[in-house]
This record gives sequence, structure tokens and C-alpha cells, in this order.
Amino acid sequence: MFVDDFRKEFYDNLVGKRVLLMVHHDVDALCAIRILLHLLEADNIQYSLVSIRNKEEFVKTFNAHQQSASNIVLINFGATFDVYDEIDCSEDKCIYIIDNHRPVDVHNVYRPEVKLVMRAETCKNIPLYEDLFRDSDEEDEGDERRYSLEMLEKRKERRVWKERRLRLLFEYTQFSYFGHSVAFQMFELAWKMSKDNFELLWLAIIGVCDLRVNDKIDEHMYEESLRSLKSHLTRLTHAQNSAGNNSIDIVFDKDLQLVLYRHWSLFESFRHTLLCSSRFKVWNVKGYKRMLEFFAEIGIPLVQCKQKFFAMDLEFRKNSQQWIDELAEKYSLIGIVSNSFVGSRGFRHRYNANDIALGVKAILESPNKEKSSGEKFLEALDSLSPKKISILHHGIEAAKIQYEAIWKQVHATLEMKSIVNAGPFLYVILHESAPDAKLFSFAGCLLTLARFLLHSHVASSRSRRVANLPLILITPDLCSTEFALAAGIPPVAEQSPNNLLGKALLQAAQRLKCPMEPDFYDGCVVRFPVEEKLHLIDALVSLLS
Amino acid sequence: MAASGANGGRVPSDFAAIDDIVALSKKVSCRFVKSVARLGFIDQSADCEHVAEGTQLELPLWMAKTLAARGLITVDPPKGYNQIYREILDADASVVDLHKLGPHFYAFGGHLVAMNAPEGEEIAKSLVHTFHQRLHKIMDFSLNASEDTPFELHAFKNNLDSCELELFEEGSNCLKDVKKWEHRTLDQICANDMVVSLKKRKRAMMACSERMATDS
Amino acid sequence: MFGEKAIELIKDLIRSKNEPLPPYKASEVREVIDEMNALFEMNQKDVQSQSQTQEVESQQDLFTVIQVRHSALLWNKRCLIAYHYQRLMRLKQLRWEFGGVLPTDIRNNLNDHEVVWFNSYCSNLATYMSRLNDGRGIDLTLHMKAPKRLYVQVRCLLDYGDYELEDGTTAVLSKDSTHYLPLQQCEKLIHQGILEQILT
Repeated sequence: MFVDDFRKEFYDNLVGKRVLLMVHHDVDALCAIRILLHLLEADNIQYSLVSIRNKEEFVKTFNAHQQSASNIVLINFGATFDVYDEIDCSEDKCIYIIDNHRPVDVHNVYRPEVKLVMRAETCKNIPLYEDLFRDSDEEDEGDERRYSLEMLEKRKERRVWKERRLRLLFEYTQFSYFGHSVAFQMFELAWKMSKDNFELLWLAIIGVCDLRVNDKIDEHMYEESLRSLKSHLTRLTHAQNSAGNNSIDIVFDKDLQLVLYRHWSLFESFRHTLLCSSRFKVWNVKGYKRMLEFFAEIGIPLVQCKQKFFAMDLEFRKNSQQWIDELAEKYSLIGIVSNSFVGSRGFRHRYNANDIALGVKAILESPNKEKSSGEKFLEALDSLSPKKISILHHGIEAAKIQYEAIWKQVHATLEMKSIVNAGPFLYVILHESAPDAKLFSFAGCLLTLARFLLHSHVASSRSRRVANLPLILITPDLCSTEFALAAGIPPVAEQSPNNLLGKALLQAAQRLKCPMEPDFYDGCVVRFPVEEKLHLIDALVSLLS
Repeated sequence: MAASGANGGRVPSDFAAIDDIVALSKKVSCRFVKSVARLGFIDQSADCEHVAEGTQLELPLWMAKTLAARGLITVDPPKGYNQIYREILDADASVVDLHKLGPHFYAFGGHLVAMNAPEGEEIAKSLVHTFHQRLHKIMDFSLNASEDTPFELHAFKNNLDSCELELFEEGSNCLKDVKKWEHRTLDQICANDMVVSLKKRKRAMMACSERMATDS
Repeated sequence: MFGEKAIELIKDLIRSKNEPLPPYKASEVREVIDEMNALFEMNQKDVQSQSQTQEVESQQDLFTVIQVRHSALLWNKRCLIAYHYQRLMRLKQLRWEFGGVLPTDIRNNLNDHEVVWFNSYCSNLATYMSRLNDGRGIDLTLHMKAPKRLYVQVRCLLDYGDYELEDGTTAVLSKDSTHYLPLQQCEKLIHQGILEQILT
């Protein structure tokens, strides 16, 4: 059931009782939970917070905590499967789902015990209740032998209804996509309760940016979120002028869209930005030279470019943005300078919200085996705190390592020509021996790699057709050796981030009768037994062609 | 009994103090001025029944005290308290490594003085003077040294006598408290020290056994 | 040499300065006591034989011998007392830091008398604390620092299991979970290193 008024139907119900918060491992969820915790603590509402990575953990945690809380809030997971079906839940409990994954499972939509804290209008094309559920499903089964005309009529009608139901459900669940940032929704809740401030706004901004840098939402939706974030910023700035000081200054302005450049060198971050690297084709010598030419033309010496950005000469540092912008059109780097939020704490630390999203994600997906996933989660949660900036810096360093690994992998894959055209789609199989396979065992990094691979392949291929082909990337899951991960991303030419490959992979697995579990991070990443790797590709070919 | 009689029969306040006991267990070299019959057992290296006049022995301070009280021995002031060292300390006490000389330099010296050793008065003066010279630097370090210079701080702390170290710690703890008060930091409630140290030891032991398991 | 075993006990205390409580050195203590008994008997014998010797000179020497032994005896006694006293002081501190139930690794390091002492100290302390605050009792080990707020955010460092709160509900303290609990009820767990307070 959808909740219309977040405050009345969601937040006010939490007051006075213990709340169990289950949070998925992603940046948007982390930002959302920080905002929610701020609200709960202000009202002295007791809570327990547990991090959840998959269905198994969810069920286990639920059973352990069942007695201790009557309100259960799921953040950024749970919408896409029938929650009630998985758990043994007594009547007096209420489950709230705050999730940006779409489509929402129809059972969740129509069950009164499940409250969906999301804007109903962002969930499109939900089939009607009458088309899905019938109360009198099994009636008259006893009289099966009497083939009266009336009975036959009824049966036929039921069969038609069932077929229609399946078709509707298939159409509805075919595409996986993302709704609004949950952090942003929590911020709006805080705003309605007049408890919003700069810190919370900053978290909401990071949440939205996380969706954008991971290509989860399209340009249009991002612009829309930016607009409302900007108006919140203006409003808070006005309010703040009369009030005291704040620990973070947020500016909405034009900024270079290069990954982590404030913490890296211009040269490196140019090479690791998807837009630039695929435009220049930096993996071959010619492209590399073209990039150097570009730097020469904007007039920054190479020594300065390779210098750490913050150590560059003031003149270059100040003007680089403008110079790059002037040449962007000539080198078809449209969008390299665009609007984004930059936050600064004191005089020392300045961050683009995108970079923070990347840094925090890198902490969550750290391949360090000595830390449990729960510890990584808490570390990432801490990194968003203004008091623990050093953790964030570690995260940003880790993000650089991720990008370097991705770049090396792309380079190697193109060099070896290991992208295979299977007809209806392209695929790559990474092997366990790949040097950075341990980094790619995480959904977020895997998807970024897939995007880099596809864009680079399309850029370097002569054939026009490849722009219309999706890519499947398969890699061993080094966290649990019997499993492999597969990620599917839509073609380059496709504008919307709607993704049908997750569903396609699941259907192929169904045909093979191989167990498969979609990842909580994104529906288009699935986990399956490693030995089914090649069968899966075959099944997918026959399914999609 | 002469030994307990010296304290008037009551227990001195540092009776159970570990530092004082350790200081008293340190050895000094003594020379017998009289021969004593049947005291041979205190010199285990020589296998004779009596101790002859002029025998040179290394005895713990507590025993030397007993013998000196009876006027049987003379005690040579050990390194750090003799004429040469007194001159060094007089020149600049702040550079001397008292930890190496001690580590209970003052406590030991105090006992030496108390047992009326020759040069006792000079030793007493030298002790006071030494402390006087060093105190200023200790205060300076404890109230100003920060975490930014861990190397210097460590080197300095290694030079201190045990009671100086105590003073130093006291000073730096005060500084921490004052700073905390100035910054108005929120008081974080922490695990107790012993709990933390127990945990650390457990972890170290587990890591050690794990390493042994992988080695074998 | 006399008194050397005794000083070893003291050195053991110094070496274990950073441990909560080292194992009780029963055999070493026994050896020191044996040494003391031997010293006492030798002195006893000499004192009895003293009446037979007549010479003043040799009598003087005998006194010296007896006195040296006696001072060794007193020295051993002082070391033993200091050893036990320091252990008791540490044990007392353990009561304040760990509470009435000691972790098994520490409990194994106590000797029987220390266990008895610890138990009676616990009950004394408990009686005292229950008498405070007009007979309503107050836990003196808590509230060492002034609290800023009623509730605190805490993080669980190990799997503790269910923890019942005063209002009858339970909180499941599993590793790496975060909770918002009344300070009063979780302060003890923070002291015991099960929870960690998080300042946001």
C-alpha cells in the first residue's frame, strides 16, 4: 500500500515505539538513514539499525529481531519482491519500505500491512487489483465432473483471466529501473517537519548524485531532482543568514565533470572519466596523443597536468575549468562542465558531491577480506559524518584504485578483443585470474566496469550496430567461490536507464532450471552457480533472438 | 630489633610501594672494615665460613643498610652518585639519562643518604640540585609537547627517573583535561582501560596462535 | 642469596603492569615462605647456642649473623605483603571496571583466598551501594561522566544476544548493529566493551 502523507502515515507511527531499521549497502541508503537517524534522535525514538545485503540476511535478521520491534523500516530494498512471503510475520507488525528500486512488487502494492513510503506517481503502470487477484479462486472445484455449459464457460473465462494476468505481470516487471533517491525523500520529510538543515541537505544531494554517477536515473530525472535541491538550498541559505553558522557550505555551480579531480591530477582523472576516455580512445597510442594535444591546446603544461590538482599553479587551477569549457565543443566533450553541488568544510576540504558518492561506495565495496560487510557498512556510515573526514579520504583513495583497475581491465579486454558478439547482445567473461577480479565481485564496481567496457567498445568498433547491443558481463564472485556474477546493461544508444536484462537473465536461468538470485544493489546484477556460465549465455541467445 | 626499631615499630607509608622495594633491591659494592665470623653465607661465590676484613662484596641495599648500621662496612657510592657523576650532574643534569642510572634514581639516593654513607651530604645536595635543574624541563615538556613530535617526546620520556615520569604523566593528563574543557568536546563514554587491554591481549594471542597454526 | 626470590615476585608485578591481573605465583610464594622458615630456624638455633659461647668478640659476630638473617626475613615479609597487597588493589579495581562477574581468563588467575576476598568485597560494596540514596540504592560505577543526553547512539562490538531493557522490550545486540538506547541502561555495557558510543 502506498503512503500518501509521509509524516502522518509513516513518521508519526514510529513515535514512542522501538524501530528496527534494516538498511541496504548502498550510498543512497546510507544518506537516507543518516537523515532518518537525525530525525529519530531528535524525538528520542529508540531504534536498532542493521545492515542487510541479501534476502538470506534479511530473513535471519528479521527472525532474530522479531520480538524487539513492532515497526520495521526497510531502506533501499524489499520493494521488488514479496516481503511478506519471505518472513513469518505476526499481525501487529508494520513494515515500511523506503526503496528506490522499481518496479514495486504487486503484492507489496496491495497488501495493507506493507507500507510503501514512496511517491505513488513514480511507479508507473501498476496492474489493477481486479486483474491480479480474485477472492474466489478455488470455488466449485468439487463439482469438476459435471461439465455443465455454465461451468465450462466459467473455466474458460478463468483461463483467459489467468493468461492475461501473466501477461500483465510480465509487462510490468520486464524492466527494472530506479525511482527517486530515498535520501531526497527523507530530506523532504525532514523539511516538512521543519528539521532540515545544511547537513541533511548535503546528504540528500549525495544520495541523488549517487544515483546519477552510477547511471541509475536518467538526465531528465536528475535535472528535476537538481532543481528541487537547488530551491531547498536557496531557501536554507536565506534562513541561515539570520541564524548561526553551519559546518558545511554548499554551492551550486558549474564544475568540471571529471572523476575525483580535486583529489587527483587533471591528467589521471581525465583518463578515468568515461566521457573523455571513450571520446579520445585513450587506450590506443593515437588517442593518447590526442589527449596530450588537447592539454596542449588548453595551455596547461603536461607537468602541471600530472601534478596533484590542489598543488597546481594557482593560475592553471583557477582557469582550467573555463579553458576546458571553451574547447569542449571542438573535441565534442559536451557536458564536461555542468552544474553540480560542491560542499566545503572550512578552508581545507572541498568536495564535489559526486566524488563523495564514489568515495563512500568504494568503502562499501572494499575488497579487504579482514573486514566483515557489517564493518564496511559502519565505516561508510561514519565517512559521511562531518567529524570523521579522514575515513572519507580513505574512501576517495579507494575509489581511485577502483577506477585504475577498471581502466586496466578495459585496456586489457580491448587489446585481447575478448568482447564477443553473440548476435542479440555482446558479452565478456572475466576470469578469476584477472588481476583485479576481487574488486569486480561487487555489483557497483562491476556495473561501472560494464559501462566502461561497452562505451569503449562502441567507440573503437567500426560497426554501427554495436551501439544498439546490450552487454552482459560475467565475473567470478570471489566472496563465495561457487558463484559467479552477471551484469547486464542496456545499449549505448538507449537513452533511458530502464533495463530488461535482469529479467532476461532470470528467465534464461528459469529455462535452465539453475538457481539465480538478483542482487539487492540493482536488479540487473544476478548471482548464480559458476558452472552454468556458458549454458546461461546459450540460453540467453535463444531467448533474445 | 634494630631494623624495625628505626621506624619506631610502625609501618612506613611506602611499605608496600613497589618502587621503593625495587630501589632497595639494587646492589651496591661494600667493603668490610672488620672481619665477621660465620657470616660467610652472604658471599656465595667464596666458599668460606667467615668474612675477612677488606672483603669486597656486592650486596643489596637493604642488607648493606643492616651491616652499615652496625659499622661493619663502608659503601662505595655507585655510579651516578660518586664524585665524577656529581660533577656531571652539577654541570647540566638535564641531559643525563636518569632512567639508565636508576630507574629509581632519587629513591635509591635517598636511602644512600639515610644510611650515613660517606659523602652522604654531598649526595643529598646533588640530588636536590639535579631535581631542581630537571623539573623545569619536565614541566615544559609535559605541558607543551604534542602528538606531532612523538619521536622527541619518546626520547625525552626515556630519560626520566620513575618519579619524574609520574610527574610528567600527571602534567600531560592535566593538559589534556584543560584542552578538553576549552574545546568543550562531548564526553564520550568509553570502555574501561582494563577491559580494553584484556581485549587487546586476547586479540594478540589469537593472532599469534593463528600464525603458529599456519606455520605448522 | 636471600631475598632474591622475593624480589622476583615484585618484578613480576612490574612486568605485568599492562595486564589486568597476572596468574598467582603460588610456587614462588611457597619458596619464599620456605626460605623464611629456614632463616627463622637457623636464627633460633644460633640464639640457643649463644649462651654457651663466652667470648664477647664472637658473641658480637653472632649477633651480626642473626641480625643479617633477620633483616632478610623482614625483607621477604615486606615483599610478600607488597605482592599480595598490590594484587588486592588490582582486584579491587577489577571489581569497578568489570563488575561483579570477572571474565574467566582473569578468574583463573586468582588464588582461593583472593576469590574469597573478592566475593566479600563485592558483597560489601553491594550492601553499601544499596544503602545509599535513602535506601533506594545507587550504582556508583556508573555516571562517572556527566551525560549530555538521555539517549545515546551505540554500536555493538560483539554478539551479545538479547538484552532486556527496563521498559520490558528487548534489544538484540548482534555484532555491527547500531542502537539508540537510554544511556542509563547501556552505560554498563559500554564500560564492559560490548557497546561503543558513537558521536555523530
